[in-house]
Amino acid sequence: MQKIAYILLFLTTFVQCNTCEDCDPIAEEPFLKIRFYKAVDSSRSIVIIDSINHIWAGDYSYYQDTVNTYTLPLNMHEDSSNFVISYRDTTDLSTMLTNSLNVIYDRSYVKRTDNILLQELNIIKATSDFETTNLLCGDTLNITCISNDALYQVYR
Amino acid sequence: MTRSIKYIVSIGLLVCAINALAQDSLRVETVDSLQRQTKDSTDINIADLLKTMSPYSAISNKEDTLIVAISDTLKIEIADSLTMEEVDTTALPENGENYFSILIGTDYGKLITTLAQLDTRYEFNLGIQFSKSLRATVDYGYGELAPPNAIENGTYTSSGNYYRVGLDYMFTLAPKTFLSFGGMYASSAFNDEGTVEIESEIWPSLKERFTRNDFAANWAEFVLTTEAPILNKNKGFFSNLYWGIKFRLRFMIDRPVPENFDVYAIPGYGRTWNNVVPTANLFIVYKL
Repeated sequence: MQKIAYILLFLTTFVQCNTCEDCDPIAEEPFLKIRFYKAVDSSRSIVIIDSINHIWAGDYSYYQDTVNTYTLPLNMHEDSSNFVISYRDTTDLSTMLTNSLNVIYDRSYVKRTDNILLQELNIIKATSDFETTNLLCGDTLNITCISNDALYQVYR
Repeated sequence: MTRSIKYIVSIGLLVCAINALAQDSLRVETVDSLQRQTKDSTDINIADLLKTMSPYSAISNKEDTLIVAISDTLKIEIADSLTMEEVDTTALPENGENYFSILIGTDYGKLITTLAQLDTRYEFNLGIQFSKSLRATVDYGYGELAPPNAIENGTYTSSGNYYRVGLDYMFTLAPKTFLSFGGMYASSAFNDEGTVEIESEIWPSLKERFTRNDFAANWAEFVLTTEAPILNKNKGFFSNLYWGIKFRLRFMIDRPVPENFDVYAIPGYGRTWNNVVPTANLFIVYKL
């Protein structure tokens, strides 16, 4: 009986090995959202983004427009990201507009409760050649903002 | 859920092992006592018989039968007509015997996980028996822990050395079968490292390696140990070879808490998800 118990103990030691069921890379990159408004009355301005950094936007699923808000993934290899955004206003689809956006941030790792390790960016500054902008963090305007909670608002 | 089932099964098996140990030790005790009674020369008297049976006690002597208490629940009647022979009595300590001994051991459960390439872990134990009941123990170990689920989108390894020092107070359940309670102080010096992969549609996907050095953690342990000989031998190498199980309850005293994300495992302590961690170790020890 004693020996059987020990053998079973050995076996349970082996059983403790867990298999990796989902070890592939994940698309959980940090991002900044951008939304367009009309400058005259701050109502939503519906635009169609054609390309980001000269790459056809339709190739990417991550920043498709759902509620007139686009998601711009941030570069995890550097402390800044530059975007060249080409877009058209739905009121004049024949005119292609282009503006640039620069985002500066600090990078750090955070771990979610499901043991997925992510980069969290502390956005220090967001500048662009849009006429009027502000950075919204959650419900309040702020100078700095944590990625994924940040919304860059463009009034044009 | 799966982890919980494994944990419950492990605990159940450990309880079975304790029962098995206890039952075997009782059986050994009985056999040993009978050997003392059934092997000897022809005519004996009760007084001589009592001498040979120490440390057991005769509780009554009625007519030609001696009743001997082996334990609280087990009594054996021995007819006066039985014959006895000389036996080796070194297996049982006599009054006034020197209990000093040195013990060298290892955690063979960790060796198994190393051989099975689950983790790289080994641990060695050195003990000094001062008296019948008191033993000092020093443990040294190395661990390279790579929990597969520590980082779901990458890898994680925590590696380093640890040591423990402590005292055990022992109770003799039966000849050569012991139960002990003890306390230990433990310390670990370790590093951790790993990789992370995060995909990006616009930018190059992130595949980065990280390393964090010079971590230290300290904790205390309450230890319950069961110990019995591997084989029931009175002479030879195996008469001094024991094995058993140590049940440990670890209480974290202090450990590093890095800014970005927490340490997942500490060599010698295990997972850091709780400041009180129960665990069990399988050990084998040789008494010099």
